[in-house]
Amino acid sequence: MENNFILYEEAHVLKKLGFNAECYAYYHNKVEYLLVKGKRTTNNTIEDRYDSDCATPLYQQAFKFFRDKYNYHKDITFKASFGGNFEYIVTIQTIGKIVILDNESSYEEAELKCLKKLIGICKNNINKIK
Amino acid sequence: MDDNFIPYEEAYALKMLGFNTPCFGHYKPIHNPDKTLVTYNINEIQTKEGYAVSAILYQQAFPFLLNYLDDKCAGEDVYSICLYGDGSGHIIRNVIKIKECRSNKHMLKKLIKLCKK
Repeated sequence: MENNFILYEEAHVLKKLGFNAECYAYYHNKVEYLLVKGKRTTNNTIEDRYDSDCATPLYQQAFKFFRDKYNYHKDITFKASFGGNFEYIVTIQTIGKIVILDNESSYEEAELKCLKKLIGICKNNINKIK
Repeated sequence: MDDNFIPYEEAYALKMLGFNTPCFGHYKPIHNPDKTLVTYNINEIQTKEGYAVSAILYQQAFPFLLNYLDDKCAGEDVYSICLYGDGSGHIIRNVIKIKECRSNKHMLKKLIKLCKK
């Protein structure tokens, strides 16, 4: 189940970038992963304690955040062909720019790579503005 | 928040296709599938009692269906399925675009249909 959530490092960056949607879980003390059963939490409503605590978005929530807040879009193209060979090609579209990442062999790998790339692009753009 | 989950009808279809990985919720009972409860996967219980269906995330449903399709189409058709960030997209079979899907729900229905063929 944990692989439905983005990793701590990315979750913490998203918190800094302003992610504040309701999540099913949060990271406590950087490493401990807590599932909030029966209720939801946001970065503003985490009951604790440490700055490092952060809500844990699903991958689909993280991508939605980038679409809604930064207008960054990603496509994952799945190609299934003869003999069971398949590949996932990730395309990221930001303002006036398209980035095509290497092919990945699994959807999950493609998503993780895509997320890291989106964060990188976002950080770069913010640094340019500063 | 519940937009993260696929609708009941599609969740039931995925169950029939063999989806059985842990989920955060389930729909129950079968005649009143409106409420999503946060719990753990109960597909094994469903098999015995047949009254509920796991509430599956879109991000769980799409890879399952793509893998299913990949297993199914090996040696036959060539599919290219482009999933946009919001879950909409288009489907190409043997170089010909056969479907433009304007929403994640639409795409989900089309992929299920392809898997069932």
